[in-house]
Amino acid sequence: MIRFALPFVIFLLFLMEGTWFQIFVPPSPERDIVLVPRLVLVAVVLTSIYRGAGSGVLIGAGFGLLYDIVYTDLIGIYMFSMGFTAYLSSFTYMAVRTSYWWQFLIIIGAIFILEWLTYGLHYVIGYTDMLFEEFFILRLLPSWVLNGTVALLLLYPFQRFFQRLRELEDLQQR
Amino acid sequence: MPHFFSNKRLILLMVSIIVLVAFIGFSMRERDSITWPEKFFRDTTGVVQSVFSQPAHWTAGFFGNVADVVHVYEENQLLKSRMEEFASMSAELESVKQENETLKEMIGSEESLSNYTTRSALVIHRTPDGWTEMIGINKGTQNGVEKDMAVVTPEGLIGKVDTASEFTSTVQLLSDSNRTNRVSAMVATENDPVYAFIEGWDEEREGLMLRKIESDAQIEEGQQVMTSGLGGIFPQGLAIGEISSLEPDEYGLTYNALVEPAADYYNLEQVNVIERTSETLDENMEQPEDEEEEEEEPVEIGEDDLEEGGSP
Repeated sequence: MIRFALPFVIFLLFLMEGTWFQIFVPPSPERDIVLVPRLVLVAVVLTSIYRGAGSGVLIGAGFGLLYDIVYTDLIGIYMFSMGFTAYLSSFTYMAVRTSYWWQFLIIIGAIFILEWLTYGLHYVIGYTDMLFEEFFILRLLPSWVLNGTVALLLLYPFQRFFQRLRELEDLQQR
Repeated sequence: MPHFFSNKRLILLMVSIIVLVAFIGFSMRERDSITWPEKFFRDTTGVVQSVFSQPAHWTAGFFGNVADVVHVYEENQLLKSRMEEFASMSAELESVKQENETLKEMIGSEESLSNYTTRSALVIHRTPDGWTEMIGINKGTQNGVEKDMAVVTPEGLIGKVDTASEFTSTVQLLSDSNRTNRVSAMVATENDPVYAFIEGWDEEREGLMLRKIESDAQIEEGQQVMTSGLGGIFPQGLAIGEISSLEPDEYGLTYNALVEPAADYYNLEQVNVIERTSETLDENMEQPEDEEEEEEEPVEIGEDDLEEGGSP
């Protein structure tokens, strides 16, 4: 059962992005900037830091595919972007695992990569004609602020969660 | 720490890019329905989303009510002033309805394009990334929802059903900027109604674009725009918005107008899915299609003959 704990937690974050966040912070016509929650990405990056590139990419691509199917009509964009971002952010050093600063920096970098990849893919297939400058100001900066704050809140709980997960897995193997 | 982009990984990256292109190509073409794995994932997630969204709507509604209480007095004053207007309007509406009934009896038509049945549905998600404007609702083909049905709130039309699976459906809002997002609309003028198309959202001026208005049409700002019922599945007369500005298009042959939407596309909780009961127009439309198919065959034979003639 313990192997389903991590996907379950990330699934809850996934639902929060589409349902709770949209109800409590609805998009509004007065606001130009686009606030996009990336809770799943934060969790995926932390997964690939604590559990290695393999499970990071697996979880990232899996939830990316779910995101594509449930929220958008285009399959593949988030599956590729999330998997790729998870792979690039798999710094599994002990120094990173113990330092919140490194983790925070990696998450900030991962947010940039994901936002830029999804923007680029949507631009290429003609779903948006937004210029890069507009994208930077209206989407990337708000996303950094919002998801950076969320990441700061999630870092400690996730560190404890992954420690606990490791302990339980060790117990099961004995 | 992985060695970025060693040979094996480079190949893996290539393969995944090919898979990505294949998936995007597969999902970008015009699809009549979605595949069963998509339906399965949407329905499963949809069940959990319904459980999640209901208490969230209540909580959000509660805080909304608290905020409303502050403005009750001003609102009351405004509504009182509107009340007298309303009484005369409803009397007028009744008489017009009766007149309409008698006229319909006189010409012997029972069905009209504006008849429809509604199904209410709960909004269970909204696409979090702002690239597409879609919402999910908790009614699907099991409840009679089908692709391309109109979706409304009490204020007016908000969009159409994009895909329907067994227990959930996704709705493409009118504000979505996809090129295929197009609704046949009409403008109520003093003379004959003017027909045109609603074609997506203007990002800069923040309004719906009403395009292909005939240049001799008498259109003014402030006129009401509604669905025409000519598109096939939408009923006639669902409010879309009112015209806020008007300009000639780039070629000067037709007019483009900016429409301020009647409905709020942002705070959605309950929506109604509309099914048109009248099939009159569809029957008329099927006949010319059959004729076209019959006509096409001789043309194909003609092409074959040409090729055969050209080859030796």
